[in-house]
Amino acid sequence: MSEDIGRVPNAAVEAPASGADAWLRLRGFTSARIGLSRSGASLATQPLLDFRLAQARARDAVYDKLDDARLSDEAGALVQPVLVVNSAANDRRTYLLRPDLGRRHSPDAAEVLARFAGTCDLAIVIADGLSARAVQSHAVPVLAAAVPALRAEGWRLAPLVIVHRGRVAIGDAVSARLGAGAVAVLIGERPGLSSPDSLSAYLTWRPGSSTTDAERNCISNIRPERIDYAEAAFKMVFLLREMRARGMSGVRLKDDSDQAALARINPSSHSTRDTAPERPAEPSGSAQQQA
Amino acid sequence: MDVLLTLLVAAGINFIMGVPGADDVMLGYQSTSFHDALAMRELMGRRPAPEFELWLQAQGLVGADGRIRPGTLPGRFHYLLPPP
Repeated sequence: MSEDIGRVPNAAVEAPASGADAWLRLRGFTSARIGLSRSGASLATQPLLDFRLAQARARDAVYDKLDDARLSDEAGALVQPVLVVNSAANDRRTYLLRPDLGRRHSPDAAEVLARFAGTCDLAIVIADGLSARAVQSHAVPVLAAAVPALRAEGWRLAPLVIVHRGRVAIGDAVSARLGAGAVAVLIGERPGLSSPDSLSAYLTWRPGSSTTDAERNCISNIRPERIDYAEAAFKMVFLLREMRARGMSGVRLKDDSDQAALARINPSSHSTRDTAPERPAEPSGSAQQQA
Repeated sequence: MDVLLTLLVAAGINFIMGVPGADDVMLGYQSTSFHDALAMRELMGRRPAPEFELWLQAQGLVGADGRIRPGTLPGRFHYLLPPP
């Protein structure tokens, strides 16, 4: 990642490139745990403690509670009304042990959603998933960039729905109730040891009870250190625009938003960049993570 | 995971994953680490696959006894690592 190149610690630059110091220098380029010191053949105490701290943070992130009042207030400034519903998993433990219940909404939710049944182009669903912290920190900033752009392109938005203990596919059920032709689910990813606050956006065209995961496009690793808010919003709007134009989503739709971003930065047809041969379609660069 | 790994090695498993520090930063997974593999070999008296062990010796990563070399960086690595 180009933004990491400047992060080589100065102390390591001064140090001779031998033994642990050489590795320390390389560690400046990656969040991977490379060059860890050993005790005998196994891990030394300090990197072992570092690992256990990261592990504890990841576990805590899974059990964090979503502050739905605060999230409703913040999201309500962008989309009205905001509905808060539960999945069919009644508590966190059940949610973790029963992924199927996290994909369905509760009976109460059906009543709430039925009151807002209608016809619209897009439902936005925010689900805590496996990291409420990710959702609390990043969902609204992404939407603050994406929602005005979507409105400008004529997307009619359903009420925004916040789901407790939801998994990705709950967006299908929610948008079916609301009569939405597409759904964007913003959801907290399974916490990694180096990223307890990573958000994903799953986009699905014509979601319904027969939708499979192959019909979703995913923008993953949304957090300021990786895919930042503006870039995530740009990709969201790009993919939704493509879905609407082509009437499809998922593996048949490729994420060419990087090329669109380049064209936006440098629209001149006289640019040397544009002389490069046309790139064949390739799969999305985003790692697909199923929350 | 250490207990499970020990059990599997005792049962004769001949392949485990190795990721740096047991942390797969791309997928957010945890797995077994290169250190785990080393520690398990020492604990249970296992050796790498013969051709891999020869390669490790040629690189200067393990000594003639098959153990990881302590501390110092093998000479060949000085050419691969960036200069100070």
